[in-house]
Amino acid sequence: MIAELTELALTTAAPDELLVFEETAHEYFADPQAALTAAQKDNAVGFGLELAMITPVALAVGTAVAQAILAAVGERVVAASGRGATALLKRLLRKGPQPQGWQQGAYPQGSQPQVPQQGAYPQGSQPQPQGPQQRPDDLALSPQQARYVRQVALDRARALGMPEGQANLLADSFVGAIVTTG
Amino acid sequence: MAEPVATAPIRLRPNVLAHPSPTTGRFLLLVAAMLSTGLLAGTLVHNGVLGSRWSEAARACFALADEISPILDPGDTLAQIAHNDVLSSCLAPAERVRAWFDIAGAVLIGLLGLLVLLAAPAYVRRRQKLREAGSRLDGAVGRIGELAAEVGLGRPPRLLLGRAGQRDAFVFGLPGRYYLVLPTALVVRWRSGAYFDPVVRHELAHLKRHDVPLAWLAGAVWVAALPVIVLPLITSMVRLDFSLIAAYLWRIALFMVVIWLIRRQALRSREHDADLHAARQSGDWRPLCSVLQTATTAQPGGWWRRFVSNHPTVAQRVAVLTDPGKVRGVSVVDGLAGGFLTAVLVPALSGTLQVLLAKTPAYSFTPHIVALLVGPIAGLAVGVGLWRQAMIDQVTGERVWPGGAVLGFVAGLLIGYWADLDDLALGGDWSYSIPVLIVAGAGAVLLSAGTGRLWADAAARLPGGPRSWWLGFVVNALIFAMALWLAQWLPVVFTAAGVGQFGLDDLAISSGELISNMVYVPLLPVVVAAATMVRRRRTLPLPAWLLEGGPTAWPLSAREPGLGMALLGGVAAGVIAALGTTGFRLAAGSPVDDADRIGRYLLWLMTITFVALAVSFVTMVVVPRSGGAVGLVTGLPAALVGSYGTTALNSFAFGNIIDLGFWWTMATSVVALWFFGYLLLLPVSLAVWPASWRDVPGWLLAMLNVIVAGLVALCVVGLAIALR
Repeated sequence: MIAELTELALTTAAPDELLVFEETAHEYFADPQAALTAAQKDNAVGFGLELAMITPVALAVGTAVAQAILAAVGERVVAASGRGATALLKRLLRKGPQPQGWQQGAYPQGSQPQVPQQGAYPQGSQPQPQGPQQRPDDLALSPQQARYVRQVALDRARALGMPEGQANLLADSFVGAIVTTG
Repeated sequence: MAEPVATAPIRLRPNVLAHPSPTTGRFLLLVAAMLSTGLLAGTLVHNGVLGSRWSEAARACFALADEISPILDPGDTLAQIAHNDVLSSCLAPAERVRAWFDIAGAVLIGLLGLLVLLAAPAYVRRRQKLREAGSRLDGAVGRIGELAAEVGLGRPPRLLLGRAGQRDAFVFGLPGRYYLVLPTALVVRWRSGAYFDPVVRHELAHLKRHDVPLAWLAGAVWVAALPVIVLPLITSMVRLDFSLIAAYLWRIALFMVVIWLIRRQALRSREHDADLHAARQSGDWRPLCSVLQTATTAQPGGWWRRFVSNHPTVAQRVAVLTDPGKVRGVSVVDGLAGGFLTAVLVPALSGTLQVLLAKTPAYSFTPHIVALLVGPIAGLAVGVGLWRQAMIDQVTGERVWPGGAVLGFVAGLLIGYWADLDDLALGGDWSYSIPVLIVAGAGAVLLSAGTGRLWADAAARLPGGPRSWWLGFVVNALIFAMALWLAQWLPVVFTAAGVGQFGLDDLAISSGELISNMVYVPLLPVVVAAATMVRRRRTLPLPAWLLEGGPTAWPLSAREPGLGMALLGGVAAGVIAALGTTGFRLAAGSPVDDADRIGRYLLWLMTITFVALAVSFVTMVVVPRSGGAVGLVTGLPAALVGSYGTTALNSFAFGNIIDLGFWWTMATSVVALWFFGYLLLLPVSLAVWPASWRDVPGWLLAMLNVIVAGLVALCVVGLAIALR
C-alpha cells in the first residue's frame, strides 16, 4: 500500500528510480533504517561521492503520509463503512479526491498552495475535516487536509536530511499522487 | 587614444600525467617495508624456538676461535680480525638457520597478503551486499563499456550495485576481473552524462593507472602482517621470556600506524591523478568539477579526519583540476614517508643478506646489492616526483623549492633509523651513521632535483611518454642507490678508521683505497647533466605532450651555461690546481724524507680537492636550481685534470717515475674526497634555488671558476709554503 503510494509519488519526484523500485522497496521494508543509512564512505580508490537514492526516503515519507491520511479521514470512514485502513487507503488512491480547483498540474513550480507553517499542527491536534463541500461518505481529502498531508511529507523528508528543493518536490508529488489518482 | 587593455597572463595547464606518479614507488616501498617486518618477527621466533641451540653453538664457536686464533693483545687489530673470521665461519650454519626464519617470516606475510588480496573481492561483495546490475540497466553497462574502451581498458569492469544506502562509487577486484560499484541513484540516471560519465571516467582512471592492485596489495600485506607480528609474542609467552617484548611492541605499533597513514596519504595523491586522468579523457575538466562541487560529501571534521581520509578535500581536488600546476611532486610528508620506509627496509634487508651470503664471494657486495634493490624504489618514490615537479614548473614558470622534500626525506631516514626495527636497538654502535644519513639523504634529493631541472630545460627535445621518463627513472634509481650504498658503507669506513685511530690526514691519504668506489658514483649524473646541457641549447616551444591541451608557449628554460664553457672552466681550474702543487715543488725543492713525501701527497690531495670543491661551489651559487647538477660537470674535470696534471708534471718536469697505478690511486682519492665534500656543499643550492635569473653566460661561469680556483690554490699552497 505504502509502496503503491510512493511509486505514484516517484513518477513525478524521481521517475528514473522506478526502474529499481521493486527491489529498493523490498530492501526498505526488510530493514528501513539500513536502507536510509549511508553505506561505508571513503572507500579506497573511490570517488567520494554522496549520491543518495530518493526512493528509500520517499518510502519513509510515504509511511508518514499514509499514517497522516488515515488520521485525517480514517475515523470517519471506518465508522461509516467498517473497512480496514488498507482498504481505505486503496480506495482513496483509486478514487482520488476532487476538491474545487484542485486539478492535475495545479501546482506550477513556485506557486504552491499556502501550507501551514511547520509546527502549526501540534501532535494530536490535526485539523478536523470540516466544510460545506464534504459529505460524510466522501473519502476525498479536503484542501486543508491535503495541506496537512503535504506538511507531514515535507517535515519527514526534511527530518531525513533531504535537501529543501527535493523535499518540496517530494511532498508535492505525494499530494499530487493522492489528488490526481483515479 | 584608447588605453591598451590589460590581459591576464594565460596560465598553461601542465600534463602532470606525462611522468609516472611517485606514489607508485611509495606503495612498493610500503609493501617491501611490511614484508621486512616479517624478517624481524622471524628472528624473534627463531630466538624463542631455537635460541638455546644458537647459544650453545655460539659458546662452542667462541671456544674454537679462542683456541685456533687467540687474541693475546687486545690492541692487535689483525688478531681480532683473524679471531672474528674463525668465529663467523663457525657460526655461519647457525646464523643461516636464523636467516631462514627471517625469510620465512617475510614469505609468510607475502603469502598471507596474497591470500587476503585474493579473498578480498568476495569479502567486499558479501559485506557490502553487492549484486549484479540486472538487465534493466543494460544501458548503463553499455555506456561503461564505451567509456572503458575510450580509456583503453581491454576489458570493462563489471557493474555492481550496492544497498539502497550505497552513495559512493568505487572499484575493486583483481587484474582482469575488476568490479565497478556505483550508487543506484547514479546508475538509473546513466543517460544524464553530467554525473554518470565523470564519475565512471574517474573510476576507470583508477583502473587504468593500476591503483586497485597497488592500494589493495598495500592494505592486504598490512592485514597479513598482523598475525605474523603476533607470533613472537606467543613464543615469548610460551618461554616466559618478556625481555624484548616492550622494545618490540612499541616499534611495531609505531611502524604499523605510520604505514597505515602513509597508505592513506598515498591514496589521496592518487585521487588527484585519477581526477586529472578522467578530465583529460573527457577533454574538459569542468564537468568533473561540477560533480565534485554538487555531489560529494562536505569534508568531514577537523584536520585529523582530513589527515586520515582516503580522499583530498573537495576544495583541494577542484583546485588541482582547475590548475594542475598545483600538484606537488614531493611534499614534506611525501619525503618523510619515502625516507622512513627506506630507513626501515635497508637494515632489515642488509642484516638478512649478510647472514645468507656469509662465506660467499657475494658477501662483500651486500651493501651494493641492498642499494641496488632499494635504490630504484626510493628513486621512484622521491626522485621521480622531483623530476615530475621540474616538468610542471617548466610549464607554469614556478620555482617550487625542494627544501621540504629534502627535509622530509632526511627526517624520515632518521626516524626510521631511530626506530631501529631490524635489531631492536641491540645492534652495534654506528655513531657515524647519523651524519652520513643526513649527508647522503640530502645529497640524493638535491642531486635528483638539480638534474631534474636540467632535464626539464631540455623537455622540448624529448619525445614524451615512456621513452622520456624511463631514463629519468634509471637516473634516479642510481642516484638513490648511490646514496644508500654510501649510507651503509661510509659508517663502516669511518668506524674502521676510528678503530685504527686514523687522523683526518691518514683518512685523506688512504681514501683512494677506502672509498675509491665513490669515484663511479657521480659518473651517471655527470653524463646525464652533460648530455642535457647540450640538448637544452635549442630554443623550442613547449612540447604538446607536456601540456594538457590549450595553447603552447615558449618555455622559461635556462640555456646557459653550455657544456663547452662549463667543462672549460673546470679544466682550467684543474690546470691551476696542478700548477699550484707544482709551484710548491719549485718553492720547497725535493722532499727530504718519507714524512715529507707523505706531507706533500696530502698537500696535493688537499689543494686539488679544495679547488674542485670551490669550482663546484661557485657553480651552485651562480647557477640557480640546476647548479647542483652543473656543479658536477665543472667540479669533476677540475678534480681529474688537477690530479693527473699534478702527477704528470711531477713525472715529466721533475723526473719522477711514471707509476700509472699511483696516478690512478691519487685520482680516485681526489675524486672521492671531492664528491664527499660536494655532497656536504649541495644544500647551498637550496639557498639560491628561488633566485629569479635563469641563464648564466658560460664565459662568466668559466671566468669565475678560474678566479676562484686561482685564489684557493694560492691560499692552500701559500699557507703550506709559509708554514714550512
